[in-house]
Amino acid sequence: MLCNQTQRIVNLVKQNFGIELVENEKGGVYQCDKTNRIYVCYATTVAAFRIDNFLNFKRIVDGVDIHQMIYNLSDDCDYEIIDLPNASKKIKLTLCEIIHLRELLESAKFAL
Amino acid sequence: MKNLMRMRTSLVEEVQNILNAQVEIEGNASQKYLAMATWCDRNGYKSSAKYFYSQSEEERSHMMRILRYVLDMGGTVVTPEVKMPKQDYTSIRECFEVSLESEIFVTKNINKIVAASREANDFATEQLGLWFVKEQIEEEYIARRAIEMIDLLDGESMFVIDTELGNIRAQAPAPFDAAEAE
Ligand SMILES: [Fe+2]
Ligand SMILES: [Fe+2]
Repeated sequence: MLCNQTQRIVNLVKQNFGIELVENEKGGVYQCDKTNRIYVCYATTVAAFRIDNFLNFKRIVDGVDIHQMIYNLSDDCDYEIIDLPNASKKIKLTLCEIIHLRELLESAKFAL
Repeated sequence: MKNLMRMRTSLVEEVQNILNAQVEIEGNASQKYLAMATWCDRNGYKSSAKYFYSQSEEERSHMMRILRYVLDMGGTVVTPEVKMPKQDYTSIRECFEVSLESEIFVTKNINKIVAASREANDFATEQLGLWFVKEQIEEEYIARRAIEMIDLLDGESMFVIDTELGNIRAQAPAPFDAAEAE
């Protein structure tokens, strides 16, 4: 579920020229033709990317070594810290979250 | 809905991927020539070393040419990993054989750029590719000619062979399209 604050921003984006690329119970990705940005809303995070950085973000998420996360038992492998390109932010995601986010970004890219 | 991708760049994904692969190939070529240069240098083949050092820089400039092009077209480049090339050679002839093999590999990949850009009607990238097609004629010629010279100079001292190889660039043919320039 999206947290309240995220839901509020999603609603705002959608009201203001936000075009839905994909939306599910975990989050959504929207294109804003006013700002030429792709909005990724996921869990507690909202980030606005320029298109190339959106694709780079997808590449980063797709590039996470999931097997390493599964088989490595040390605590710092329970989550992965991911850079949001040019968004002054890093996010911390668990294995499940990464898999859900991958799905979301894949559908969004397809809808572009 | 705006086509944000097209607004950002004129490169389609496949072409951009091939160009990025070529950035890596040229970077690796630069490293290979650098390894040959240091091998020649420490074995006393100073003239050949000089040629390979300059060749290494030229390969880096090829890498930069493609890298800058992708960026100028609004694309994304991946700066490649530095891999350790082969460090030891059995002879100076082997250096030039490896360099010929490497240039043939490069030519094949340059041809992929031209083929992919034609497929995508991307004539800007085709132009970039064609510059490299011409460059590869020279590169392959020099490597082949070097091996031929080593064979022809059979019996000469290694010093003479090395000195001759140091001037190998002068042996390059004039560009084929400059034939009627005068
Ligand atoms: Fe090259
Ligand atoms: Fe050259």
